[in-house]
Amino acid sequence: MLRVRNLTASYGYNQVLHGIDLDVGQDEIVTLIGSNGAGKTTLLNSISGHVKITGEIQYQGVNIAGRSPHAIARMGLLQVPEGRHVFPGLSVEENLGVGTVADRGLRISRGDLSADLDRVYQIFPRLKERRSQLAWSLSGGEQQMLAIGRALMGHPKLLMLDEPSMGLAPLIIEEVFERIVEINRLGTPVLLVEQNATLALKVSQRAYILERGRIKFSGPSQEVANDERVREAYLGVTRR
Amino acid sequence: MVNRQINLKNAVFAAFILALCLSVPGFTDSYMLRVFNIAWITCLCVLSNYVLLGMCGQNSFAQAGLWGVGAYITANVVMKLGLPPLVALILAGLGSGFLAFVLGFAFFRLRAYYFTFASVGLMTILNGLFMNWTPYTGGALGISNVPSFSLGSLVVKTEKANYYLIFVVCVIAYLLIKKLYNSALGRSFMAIRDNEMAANCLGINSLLTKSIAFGITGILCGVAGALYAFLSGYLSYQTFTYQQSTMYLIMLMLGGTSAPSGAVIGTMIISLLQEWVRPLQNYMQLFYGLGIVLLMIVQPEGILGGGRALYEKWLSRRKPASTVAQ
Repeated sequence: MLRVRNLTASYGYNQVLHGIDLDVGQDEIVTLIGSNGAGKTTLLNSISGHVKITGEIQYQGVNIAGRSPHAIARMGLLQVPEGRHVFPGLSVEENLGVGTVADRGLRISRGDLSADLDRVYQIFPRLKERRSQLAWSLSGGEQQMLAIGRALMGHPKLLMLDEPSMGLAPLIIEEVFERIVEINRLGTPVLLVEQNATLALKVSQRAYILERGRIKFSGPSQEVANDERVREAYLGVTRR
Repeated sequence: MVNRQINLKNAVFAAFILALCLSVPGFTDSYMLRVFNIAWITCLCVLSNYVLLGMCGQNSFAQAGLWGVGAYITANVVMKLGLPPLVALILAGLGSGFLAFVLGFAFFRLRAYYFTFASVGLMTILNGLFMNWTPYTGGALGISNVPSFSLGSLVVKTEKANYYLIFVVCVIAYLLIKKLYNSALGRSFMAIRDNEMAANCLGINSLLTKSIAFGITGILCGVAGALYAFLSGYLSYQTFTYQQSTMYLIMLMLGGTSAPSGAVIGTMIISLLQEWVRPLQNYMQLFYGLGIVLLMIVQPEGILGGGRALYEKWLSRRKPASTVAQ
């Protein structure tokens, strides 16, 4: 459903992405792995319209390259930016309410949110416990869940997660990843950017390895995880 | 059960405040009543500042200019076109709102404080226009003898009648802003205030949304301008100044930016304070300046935030048993 072809992006004179090809199919979790500065976030930001690019991004048969971020979000491509970015001054439920703009647009009335809220609370029961708390008072893990839940309120057709494990305790990371798998099982394709390669390869069906702005390696996650070069560089397994 | 109790308490409190406000003409002389009238008109502008700064996080210094636009539109529509005052009131709101909305698209290409700079520029331009565009603003002499507000045969001429008119408009504006606060649009304002990039990722068109917020500011200021024109009957460019805009900001900061009631509290305190300490008039700006600096250090959330903190402290002291039981 998402087809990226020959995508390049630059910040000033610095070219960050050099001809990226990437596909995300219906119902799959695709992960994008790479070290710091490889261009992972830039690639996500390019797809969601925050970075000026050349090349082609086909989404459901339409070229969306060059459209503005809010227009792309309204089409159902929702990005959960790196570092969570919840709205600190709003309560959990108000944060979730804002998420509906992607689906229903800017409007005066609030409409009935109960069905959407129930759906999100079923996936993240912890948010329900905290629903009237202000977002800044949540723990890191809860903020990450809120950020993902907020995107779910907009009925994403493709969910793009930027380092959901960042700064979280290992136990919480596992919980978040379980939820991501569940969201995918309920029918939302996920494009997952991660530095925690072990876990990302475990939950995803296919993987791309990004190095200095180029796709170095791609294939089914299982194969990628067993590749010697990948094991050495990203999984911390040394060759004997 | 607890909810209903709180609702009842709130309703009683609101009724008390409403009764207090409605009884103001009963115990004030006409001079003091004029002070109150101006205060409520100012309150509309400060409420508009609340929408833009408190909800949407965008600081503008153009409010007094938009207020003036509303006032001059009213004077021209009533005196030159001879249309009824109610039409003038509506046109003032729409005209000023439209101006702000359209300019918003240009201004909000600038981010954060660059927008504030642009609004200072707009304020200066508008003030220059008021002073020099003689056919429509009367130039340096201003416009005098703007007729009073009237609806059919009902003429709002006395200070007291004006008080009720202005107060009712304020209450309507206040309730609409409360409604806006809970709407998806209001939530989008606050999303932009808290984190613009995340808001964009969720499909919020920040340029359009911020322009709408600025447009609402324009409508409120425009209506305030119309009310001012009907009340005072005389418009001069010296009224609609940059200083007035900073005053609105000080009032909002003093009251607190977290709820519209902060705007009302701040406006009332400063407006009445100005009257009570008139002998010290020359030093007032100095006190405001020092006061705001102190306020930002000691109580950045204004009187409203301070009051809320005290109330919560009081609640927790009163019911320690119930919190333990939970």
